[in-house]
Amino acid sequence: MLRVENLVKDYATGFLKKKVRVLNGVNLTVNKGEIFGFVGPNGAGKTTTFKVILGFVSLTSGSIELMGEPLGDVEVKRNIGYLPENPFFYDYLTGEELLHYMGELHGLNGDSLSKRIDELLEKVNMTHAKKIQLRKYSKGMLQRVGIAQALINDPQFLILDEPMSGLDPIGQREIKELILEQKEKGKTVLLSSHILSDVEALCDRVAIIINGRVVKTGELGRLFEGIHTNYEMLLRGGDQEALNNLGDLNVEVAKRAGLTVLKFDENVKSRVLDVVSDSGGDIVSLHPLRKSLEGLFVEEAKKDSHIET
Amino acid sequence: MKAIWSVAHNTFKEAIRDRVLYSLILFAILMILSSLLFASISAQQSNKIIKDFGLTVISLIGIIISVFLGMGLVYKEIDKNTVYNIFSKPIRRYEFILGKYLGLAFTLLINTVAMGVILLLIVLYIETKHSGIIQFYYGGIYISELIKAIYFEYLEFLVIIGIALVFSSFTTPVMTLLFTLFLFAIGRFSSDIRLFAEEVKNPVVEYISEIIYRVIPNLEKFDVRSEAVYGGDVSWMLIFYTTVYAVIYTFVLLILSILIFQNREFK
Repeated sequence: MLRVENLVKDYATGFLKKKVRVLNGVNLTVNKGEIFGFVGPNGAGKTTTFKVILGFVSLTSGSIELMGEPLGDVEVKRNIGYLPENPFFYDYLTGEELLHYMGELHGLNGDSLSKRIDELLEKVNMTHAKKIQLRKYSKGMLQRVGIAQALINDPQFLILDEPMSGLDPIGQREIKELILEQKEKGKTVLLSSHILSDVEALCDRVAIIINGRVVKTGELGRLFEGIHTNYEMLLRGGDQEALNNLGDLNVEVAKRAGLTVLKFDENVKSRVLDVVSDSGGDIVSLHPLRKSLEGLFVEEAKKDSHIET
Repeated sequence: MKAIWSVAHNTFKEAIRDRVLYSLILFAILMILSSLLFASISAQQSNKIIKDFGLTVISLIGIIISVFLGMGLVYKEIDKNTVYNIFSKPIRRYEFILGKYLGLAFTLLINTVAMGVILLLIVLYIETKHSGIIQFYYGGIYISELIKAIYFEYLEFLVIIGIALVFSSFTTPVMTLLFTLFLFAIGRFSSDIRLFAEEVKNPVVEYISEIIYRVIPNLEKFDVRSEAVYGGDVSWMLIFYTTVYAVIYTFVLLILSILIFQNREFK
């Protein structure tokens, strides 16, 4: 569906037109029928990659093939739906008028377009606001109508830039369901996010981009193999002096509601367990702290000799 | 092709919702007030003053709308990121530029026609009041000359929108405003500039003024107010040539805008 090879993008900035490399050899393949997550911290190059794919900015070098066609083929866009990051629409239009305009640009018109607009507004729970000007919409409402306009042409390939942004938990769940529904219909989805839980619940595969380079691609679970995990242990009782000495092993020791809380890295886990056992403390709970995407970013950044961590 | 009309329709809608047509109310008030003010003068005299004043105000309002809406025509879409929605759809960049231009041109057409009708009604009213009958001919001047003068003013707006569009395709609204007003001023005084160069008798000044005269649109061609007001013939030949002049100039300006916009990066 999409193949991006060695994509490089330089921007000229400032008065002297100094070149800044925003994308530094991005490689990406999105297969038909999958939901593909494009994750990375803010400023990593996710949106820029989308902008190059859609022809908003030119590429410096590399190659892109979108739905079997080379970059720049306008007709390909008949089968594409795109939600920009922080979408801003014409605030003098109503939700219905916006969808009508966007539909017209796809060559749709008449009753079939009106029917499609009603369907989509219902799908994103915006029927009540269809006659309201967009200037009166909240951020979440704009995001919903943005998703509706991306779906107006019933696209084969959906590109969504931060689709959960600005939505409350209910809205996020609804949009996730909508995205999964697209997959069930055989559609392909490429979405970007900097929030791990967004991609975890949806994506078949992900690519992690850091500083303009895709550092890992694959199934999400596998990407975390070999990443350090922190643990949190809650203890009742035990020899406090022995526990306090755990500080030497870089264990954080704190008190909470009469319990001792220990936080430590997995590589000292067995030693901590030994000390706790000797101290006579009663383990109330022990659980791994959630592996955060940030943790993964840091790990990857460490490997990247060009990046200071 | 259909995309051009969609963009034009949306541009027109934006202008209307930006309350552009409020200018009509302003125009009507100005015209009614001035007709009351000049009511004491003889019909022929007051009508001349009102026609001159009316044509000047139509021109002024039209130019203000052309420049002020023209300066944000493309820039606003880039600045507000609406280009991302537009160009993720199957629309070519030249279609967008043509749509934006036609949308504003249509807005001005509606506005100019409406202002023209108001002016004609007031002129006819004053004439009828004085003579007791509706006359389409008085003092050697046909009403048709007035309509021709308004048409010429509209042609000027078409060229000014084109100039604003070129600058709006690559620079900020403030710069577009400055550049457009600068070119407008030169365009309005281009024969004076040429005359000045002849007086100075300096080959460099003459050369530069010749370039300005040839390259920058001569907007004086669109001013036939004195013919319309004080008597004079605006021939069909002149209408034809002036129309062709405006169309060619607009065409060149549109091509220029498209060439600039074609390679514009939407960062």
